Amino acid sequence: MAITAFVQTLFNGLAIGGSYSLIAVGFCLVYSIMKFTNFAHGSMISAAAFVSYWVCNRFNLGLLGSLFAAIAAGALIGSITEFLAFRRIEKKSASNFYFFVSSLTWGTFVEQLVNNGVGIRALAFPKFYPSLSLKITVFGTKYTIMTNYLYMFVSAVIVLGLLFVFLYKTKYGRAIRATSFDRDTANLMGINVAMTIQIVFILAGIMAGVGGVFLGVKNKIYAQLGSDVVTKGFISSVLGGLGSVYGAVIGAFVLGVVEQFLVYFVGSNMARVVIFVLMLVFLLIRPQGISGVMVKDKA
Amino acid sequence: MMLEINRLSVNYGHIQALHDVALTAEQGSIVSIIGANGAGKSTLLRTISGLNSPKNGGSIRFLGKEIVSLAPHKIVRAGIVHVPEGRKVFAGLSVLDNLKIGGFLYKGAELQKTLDHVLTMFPILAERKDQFAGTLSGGEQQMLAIGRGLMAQPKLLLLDEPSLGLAPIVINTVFKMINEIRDSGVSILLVEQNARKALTICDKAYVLENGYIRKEGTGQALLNDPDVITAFLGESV
Repeated sequence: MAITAFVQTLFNGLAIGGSYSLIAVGFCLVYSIMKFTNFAHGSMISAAAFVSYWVCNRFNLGLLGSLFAAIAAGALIGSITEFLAFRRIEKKSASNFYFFVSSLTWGTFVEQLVNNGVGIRALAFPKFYPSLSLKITVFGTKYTIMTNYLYMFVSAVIVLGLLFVFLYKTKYGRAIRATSFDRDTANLMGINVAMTIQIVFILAGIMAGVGGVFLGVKNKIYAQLGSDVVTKGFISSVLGGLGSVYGAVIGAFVLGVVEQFLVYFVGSNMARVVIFVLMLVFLLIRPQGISGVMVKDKA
Repeated sequence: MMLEINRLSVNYGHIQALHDVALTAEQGSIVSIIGANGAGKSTLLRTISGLNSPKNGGSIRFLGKEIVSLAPHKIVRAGIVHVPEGRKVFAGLSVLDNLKIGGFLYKGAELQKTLDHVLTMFPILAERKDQFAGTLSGGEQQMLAIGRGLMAQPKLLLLDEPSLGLAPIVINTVFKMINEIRDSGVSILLVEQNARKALTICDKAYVLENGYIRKEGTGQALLNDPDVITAFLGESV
């Protein structure tokens, strides 16, 4: 493998990993605080991307405007998801099975709404970039990278950076971490648990929105856009160690990079098979994930 | 009266954990509740702090206000802070973050002032402020749990089994701290299995048995009560 190809593949992997990380971290935050797998996560991605597409066309927005529209839409959708699909069940401290059914039902419902909105053919964002690829010269070597990937990577890094500042430097971030550890005790510290859960869903929605725009630019917008990539988000967060935000980020980048190298070596069709084989093998060897946190499921 | 509980009954599923409990605590006092495992001591504290809901008709008045239907985070705001059984520190968060979460309702200079106060009170926490709380010893975790409770600037502190699982010398330190906290003006409701310690330190005590208040009196009176002696102090009369 030539050095140029290596660097380009690595960069593509990091960029794709960036979009996975946005999904994985949102998913992981919800998992940590609710202790259940939110199968409606994918639908938030599709829905936020679709709303952003609609706003972008209606008001002739560029990439930045579309991103902000997606962030606003994602926040709103996340908040509605929590309120309509989970709040009542949460209050009754129902069994995990109800969360499972509720998240599947809600996810399918939202996906159907998007499906009806999109119509038969997938939608494409307008052309955001003057050129699809960029030529960059580093140390005398020329690299060609996709413009969308560059923006995807940079945005993911910025959003993750802001998220980490929020989680580790602000009182609401601390409240989220405390509530994820022990909900009753957090409540005894004066933390409003319902509000904290609401904030987590809003954060997950925002990240789903940002990821959705870039995936929409990459793959077009269709109802299953989210559920197609959300598996990768799930895998990333398990790979990193379920329940650990750091782990989810690392897992996502590892997954993105490994996937791109597989595409390079065995082609994209085989890569889709091999990546899942690797994943299964990894789970057999190290089920607790890279970061090694073994989370017990809600009893 | 700081705390006034009347006709408080609580169900756990089909089991009634508390029957018509009545209890009062005066400002600046230490009130102990002793009783065996499963007597309903923790249930009582959890009901005061809003984690458990009582049956209709029960009343918990705090500084003259009814708080029985309030959510736990609002009860903290009212001035009652519950340090739960088993310490329940946030193991994966730093000592400092644990304390700051205790002071969740405050910010800026006021939060910093309380933080400085608590760190002076518990120098061991200052020493270990950047460590994960889960790496502390049992006694240190208990100090952290109490310190974290104080961060919320309570008027009434509910302590659930603060001596549980600690070495005798550490237990002495914990009880010394409890006295100090009372002297600083915070009232304390103390639930303990270590009856001798709890009765020695308190101004007033209640004996809880199978969800009923069986006895009440000054700590000294209960220390000399033959029933209490046989049941809790492990001496034959």
